Amino acid sequence: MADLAHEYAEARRKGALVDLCGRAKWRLTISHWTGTTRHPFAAFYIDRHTPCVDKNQNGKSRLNMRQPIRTIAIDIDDTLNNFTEILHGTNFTHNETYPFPPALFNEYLAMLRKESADEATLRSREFSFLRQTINGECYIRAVARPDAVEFVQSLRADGWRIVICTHRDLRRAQAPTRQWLNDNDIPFDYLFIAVDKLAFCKDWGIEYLIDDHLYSIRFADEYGVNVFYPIMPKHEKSETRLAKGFRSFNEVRQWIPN
Amino acid sequence: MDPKLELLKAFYDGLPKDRAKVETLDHGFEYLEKMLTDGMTLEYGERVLLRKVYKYKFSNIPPWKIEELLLAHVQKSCNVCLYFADKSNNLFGFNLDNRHDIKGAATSPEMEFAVSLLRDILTNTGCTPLVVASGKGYHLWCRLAAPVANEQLYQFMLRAMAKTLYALHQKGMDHNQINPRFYPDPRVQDKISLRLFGSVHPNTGAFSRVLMPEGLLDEEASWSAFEQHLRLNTISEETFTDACKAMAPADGYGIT
Repeated sequence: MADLAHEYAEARRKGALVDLCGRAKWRLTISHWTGTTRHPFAAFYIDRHTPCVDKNQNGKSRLNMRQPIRTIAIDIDDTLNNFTEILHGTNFTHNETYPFPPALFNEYLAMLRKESADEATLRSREFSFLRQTINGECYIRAVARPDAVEFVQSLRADGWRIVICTHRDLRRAQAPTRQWLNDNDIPFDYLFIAVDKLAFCKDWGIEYLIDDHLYSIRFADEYGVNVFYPIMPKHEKSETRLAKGFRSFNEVRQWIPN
Repeated sequence: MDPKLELLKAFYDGLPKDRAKVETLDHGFEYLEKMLTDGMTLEYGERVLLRKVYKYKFSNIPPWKIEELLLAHVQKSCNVCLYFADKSNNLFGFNLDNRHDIKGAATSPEMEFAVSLLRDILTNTGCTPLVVASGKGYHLWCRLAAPVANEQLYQFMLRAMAKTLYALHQKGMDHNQINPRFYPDPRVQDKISLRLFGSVHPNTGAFSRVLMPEGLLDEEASWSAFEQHLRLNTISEETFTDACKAMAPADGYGIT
């Protein structure tokens, strides 16, 4: 016990346990050092820089500095792929099984492309059906950006935790989303639906978000999240203190820790 | 075992327990690490907009963990939602939600009329439903003694709902005020989950109370009504077969 306390104090003195800023807490459970499975006094909640205690070769406990797990949240549509290009460039045609006539199909498709549907239309069953159908097809057809794939793979190789964070309705689109990510060799740890991705990142203590959405860019500073976005025409004059645009995913490397 | 937990397990004995959706205020990687043990996996998570509520769809849930989750559900520290079985189920239900721009459950006369009518239609065929206030409408649940093919359940519910909306229309009420859905729906079998009885509003802690013809019951009386429903209103195979026949006479939808 004295050895352990000494090592803990030493580690703390060296600054390993600083930055207790109230974000996601990592539970440290010290076990086995007394021969019991868990010691009642040996649970500490330490922010991010989590030392772990294990036995060394001669069975004596020692403290190791575990590297904090770096986490990034990444959007899919128009970030990892060319969703909008597919939505606008594909010739979608009316199908006889659709529960509305071709004229309404064309009208709704135009609204979907322009994002101009009013609230009542957005909530109508017909429009919801069309949106699910067309978006579902775009999810499959969308092409992954090669630089994005390479970037995410390199993050994984460097031990980053990767959270895919999307507006997609994963209740219905989970299978094609997983399939697309797997087909394109894009590694990830978790899939999340978040309409407000900044709030999600803040809740989970995620410091880095890659997302094309204007809301994420505009309010990055307010939430204290570093947002990186692939520059598109809609992003003109969008840059803020914490939001940075990029042409190639390689540029993002300079803004995140190695 | 907690009697409420025992009751919950008995009522939902036909639903698969290896996957579930959990609604909770808990979040963070520590929470996930704690949950994802013994082969349990997260299919996806969701942050609900404007409320700090998280929903997690878990699969490969080991038996001890679902027991733990159900206990947490009756203790009101999370809501557990289960998914229907792929081919047949011994449970079916109607969700009658207010139209999106109407707030609250009791404000729409169309809703009150529709719930009362649907309750009567089902009860008259021997399928007495348990009616629960959901916050934005009502849920009506019927429990069967033995599983029935999902397609047959769907056809039965479709006819019951058609009768209800038609009666609403005949009464001069706007059926568009109500957004009806019914489950299990073979089209969205593995996508829609059922929030178990005893759930609470994640933010306000408000309990989902049972609605009897005389009015809403309080929490304890709701649990008693739930217990009584399981004991007295579970529908036998024979009764359901007769109910199907009564619901679908020669005119197809039985609208008269």
